[in-house]
Amino acid sequence: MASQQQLNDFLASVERRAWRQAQYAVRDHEHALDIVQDAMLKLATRYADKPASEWPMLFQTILQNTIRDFLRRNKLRQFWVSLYSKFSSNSDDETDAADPLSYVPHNSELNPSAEQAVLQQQNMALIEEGLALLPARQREAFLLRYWEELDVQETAQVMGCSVGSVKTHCSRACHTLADWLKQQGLTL
Amino acid sequence: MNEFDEAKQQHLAQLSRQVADAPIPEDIRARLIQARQAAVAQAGLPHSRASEVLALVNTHPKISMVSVLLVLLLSVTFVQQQQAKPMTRSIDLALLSSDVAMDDLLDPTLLDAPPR
Repeated sequence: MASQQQLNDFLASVERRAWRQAQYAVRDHEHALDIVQDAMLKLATRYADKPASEWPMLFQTILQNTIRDFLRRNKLRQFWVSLYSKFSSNSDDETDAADPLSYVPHNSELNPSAEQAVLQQQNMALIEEGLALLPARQREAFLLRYWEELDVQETAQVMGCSVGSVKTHCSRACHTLADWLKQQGLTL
Repeated sequence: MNEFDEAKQQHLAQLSRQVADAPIPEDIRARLIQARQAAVAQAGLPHSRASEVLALVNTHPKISMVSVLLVLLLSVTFVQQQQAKPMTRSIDLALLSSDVAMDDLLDPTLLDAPPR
């Protein structure tokens, strides 16, 4: 059985990426924070007694389900709001969208040269923007595979789909992202 | 883009991981720490089914209230239905335990006869 310190360390290691994942999906800082908090609480209250090696998969499953639940509820809410109000619109999503440039690292320790650091920051901002533009399932597959480093089977388990679907989603995500980066002048 | 090879995919993955590990705004970081501490504190507490139900009621008070009302309504309807039923079971028992033959019971003249 894992200790509280281990749980704390695990959550500390995943919280940043989890927030980004949620933020890409819901495009709102506050909701993304709520989702991550919810996922952390669920893991801590229900699965804290599980071996620490099982936490990454469990946390990702919880996180993805929480994001999906949020989007489902939001869709339903939007449906009723748009049904009863002619003033409702989706423009909030655009205005609340995060500016990718605000999340790039501010410290220049990552690169010795200032020029390189600026270049890297620009690339990261572009990638972040590209990731946010991907369709939800493609982004989910891409992030699980390359950020969380889950293998194809684990990703399929978390996403609740087949291994073939994961491969398709990942491949399409890579193509779309590469095309988009190329359009922005960044070649791989 | 047909020849999108493994190397390019790995490069893309590597680039995207830099985004994953990039620092986040200070206020978000502080709130994530708070959330983490709250979650870890919860991990140490025993969780019973009752506390989970209470938490659910706290999160969705309206839905809980409507559910309770529905259950009450169904219970009242059931009880009323039970009370309104004729006491056929006791009549059946009385008939079975009597010493009058079943064929005689069906005889209309006997049914119309005054009680002994």
